[in-house]
Amino acid sequence: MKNLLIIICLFILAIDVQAQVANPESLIEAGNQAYSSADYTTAISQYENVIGSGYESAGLYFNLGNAYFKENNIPAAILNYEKAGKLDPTDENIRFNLDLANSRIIDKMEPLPEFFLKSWWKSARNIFSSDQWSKLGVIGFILALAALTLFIISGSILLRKISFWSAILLIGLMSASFIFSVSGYRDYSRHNSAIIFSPTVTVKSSPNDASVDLFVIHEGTKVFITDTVEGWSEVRLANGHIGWVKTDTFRLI
Amino acid sequence: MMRILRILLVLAVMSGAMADILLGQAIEFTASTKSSVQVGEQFRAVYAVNQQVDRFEGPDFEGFSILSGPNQSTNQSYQFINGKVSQSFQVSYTYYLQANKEGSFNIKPAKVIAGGKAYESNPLTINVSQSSPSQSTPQQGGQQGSQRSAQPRQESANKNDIFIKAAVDKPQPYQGEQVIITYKIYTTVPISQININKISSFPGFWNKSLLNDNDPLKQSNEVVNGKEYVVADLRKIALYAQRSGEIKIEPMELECVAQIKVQNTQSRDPFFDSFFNDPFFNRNFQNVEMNVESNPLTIDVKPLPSTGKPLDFSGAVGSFNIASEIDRTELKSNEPINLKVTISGKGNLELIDDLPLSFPPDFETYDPKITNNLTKNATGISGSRTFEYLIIPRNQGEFEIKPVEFSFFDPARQSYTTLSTPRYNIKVNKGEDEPSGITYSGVSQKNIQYIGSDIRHIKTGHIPLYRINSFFIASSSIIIWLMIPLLIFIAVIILWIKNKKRSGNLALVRNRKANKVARKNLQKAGEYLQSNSTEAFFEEISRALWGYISNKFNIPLSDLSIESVNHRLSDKRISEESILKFTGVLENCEYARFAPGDKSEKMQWIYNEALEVISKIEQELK
Repeated sequence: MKNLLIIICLFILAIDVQAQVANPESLIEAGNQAYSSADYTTAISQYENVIGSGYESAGLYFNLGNAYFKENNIPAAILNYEKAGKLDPTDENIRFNLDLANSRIIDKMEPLPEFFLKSWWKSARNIFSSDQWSKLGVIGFILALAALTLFIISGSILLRKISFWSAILLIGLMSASFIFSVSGYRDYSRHNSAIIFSPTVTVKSSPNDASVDLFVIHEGTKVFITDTVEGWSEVRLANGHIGWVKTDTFRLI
Repeated sequence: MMRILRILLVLAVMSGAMADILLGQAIEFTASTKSSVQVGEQFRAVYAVNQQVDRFEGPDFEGFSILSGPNQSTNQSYQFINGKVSQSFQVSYTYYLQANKEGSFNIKPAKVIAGGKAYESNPLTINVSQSSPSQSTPQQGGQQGSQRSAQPRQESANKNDIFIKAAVDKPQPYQGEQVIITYKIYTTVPISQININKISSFPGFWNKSLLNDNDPLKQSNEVVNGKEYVVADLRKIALYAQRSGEIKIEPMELECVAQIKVQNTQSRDPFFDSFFNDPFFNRNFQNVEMNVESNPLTIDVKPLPSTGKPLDFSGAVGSFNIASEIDRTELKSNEPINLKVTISGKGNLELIDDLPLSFPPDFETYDPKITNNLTKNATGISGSRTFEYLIIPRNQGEFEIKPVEFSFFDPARQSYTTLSTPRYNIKVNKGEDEPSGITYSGVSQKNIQYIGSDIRHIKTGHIPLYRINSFFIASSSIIIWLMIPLLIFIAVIILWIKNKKRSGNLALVRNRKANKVARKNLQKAGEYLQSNSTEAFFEEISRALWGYISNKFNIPLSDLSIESVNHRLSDKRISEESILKFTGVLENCEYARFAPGDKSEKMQWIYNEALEVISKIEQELK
């Protein structure tokens, strides 16, 4: 029994170690050095190499966004800040730089007011990242089991009362954490928002070239993809406008 | 009074005379003009009637152009001579005509309607001859001075007498380099009324005239092709190219009146001829209006070399010097500093917009006052441009005004030069009196001012990396992380339940066995009683009683005492009597065990009591 536990623990550790690899870290270090010496092109290629080899993190996207910003490639900077913000919605620096980059684009938009419950939900969820939420959920789960054990085994009535209520509380916390975590993960993996990369895009009323021009948007603007049909995507802007653009005019976050 | 009388008299006479005219006099309607004119000559044709006319119909002047007319004029005169009144009345219609072509022209009569009847004038015949300057009279010339007359033949004859030459001092300048274009008029005849119709435009150039409009024309003499000309600078313009490439400059056009000397060989009037026939008057002049055009120019502007171009180069071309002057370097806060930067030299000074001066951010600065001190002369524009900065340090401290760099291209040396002003260290002492109205409290506070906005710096240090799309929530490890605690939990609960079951059974068994064991012990004690072995008997009784309690209530033997037995039995609601009996038997047994004397009688009693009390407790527990 004891041996089995040790083997399982070692297995978990092995998974965690496997997730962090040493080699790309030197690439990041080289990228950081190039950035500090204002060689942004090199920094960009180093960071992109790391992402190309299949790794990511909020800090990496943030640094890449910064390098693009310094190269005056605002759409790419916004795209990477958005990616970084998705991975770590808690980071204040990411939000600051994203706001700054958004102030440099052509289109200025008044976002539609969000339903207050939705914004509450989002701001609660964004207290932690998805991974942090799931870890919190696991901790809550373990503590809830411990409390239940105590409740079952304990002879003292007071102890049983305390452990019962804390178990209920912990189960609630655990469920909320897992819900937030899943929600954050789904938001990330859905890829339903994008940044416009073409300098000027005419938004059409339907997915073909002959349809009516509705309005014009420019590079760096964030859009939400609501539908995709053969090379065309239906996009919704932050201000609520909806229209069709070609899929090669934007890049998904 | 006299005047009124006179007017009345005149009116009376007039009415009489009018009546006389209308009634008595025969109508006379005559046309008169010159019989021969030259092409281009202007002349009059007069139609005169000696009566009041109702309508006048002029003829068609075929072959002539009507410059003006018919101009009506009425001429009345009265004469009182020796009591006789003679009067004349004349209405005349005058045309100003100009002959257009050669030939003999007949002009049809004009018509008038007077007193209900139509009258016709005599027809006119005009011979138009080819114009020749010798036939023009001085008077005519005088009259025509201000008139527009196109006389192409004359002009072509005078092409060499008057011309404008446009000259450029550098046909291949650098962009921004000064080029001077000079327009000179060459003439052999006196000219007047120079009127510039078209000034050349200089596309792609910034230009500045070097001559003032009201300056007198500077004249000089020059011999061109063996002819002596009077030369005057009409325009002198300094140009600075704003772009490179071949730039064409359109010619300049002007209109002037030339006084052309003519020899009056043919005299029409013997009297005048004799009178004016001396050398002075023989020099007759004709004023001829002329259009003169300069030659077009092409300037090939070279771009500035890109090699060695300083980063802060802003387009200054020429040769310059920079000087700066500061009025003080140590002062109190809120006192002004004057910093003057002067760029002097030759070149496109006026195109130097601003200097890239950077002051410490805490200084209050104002836009510079720019003053030009430029002199224009034949070689171009030179002088100085002064930027005067007013700076007010608001806080005390040591500051530094960095040197300002000014770069220009020197076309003479074909290279860029960068000049810089000295560095100024400014010491600002605490001002004696802080200006009132700014500080209300003892401490003057200021919000931190953002001087620029930039993104936050990159994250340095260790950046943990994860496989793309490796979310803990979606990974297999979370299942393990959840499964292991759950398994441990289940295992613990199972173990606990098993353990509880086992210990629960043991107690039950012992409980059930308690009576049996006690009875077995008592039976043994009965045997010892029979064999009268005292020691063994008491031992067995004691074991039976203690063991019963221990087994019945699952209490280890070691924990038992009289008191705990007492306590436990009363807990189980055993009657007071039975408890007393039980403890009494126990005490007696212990006592008898260790007390000396005969115990055979007591043994029987204890045996009976023990049997009784155990069955009694057994009953009460059910």
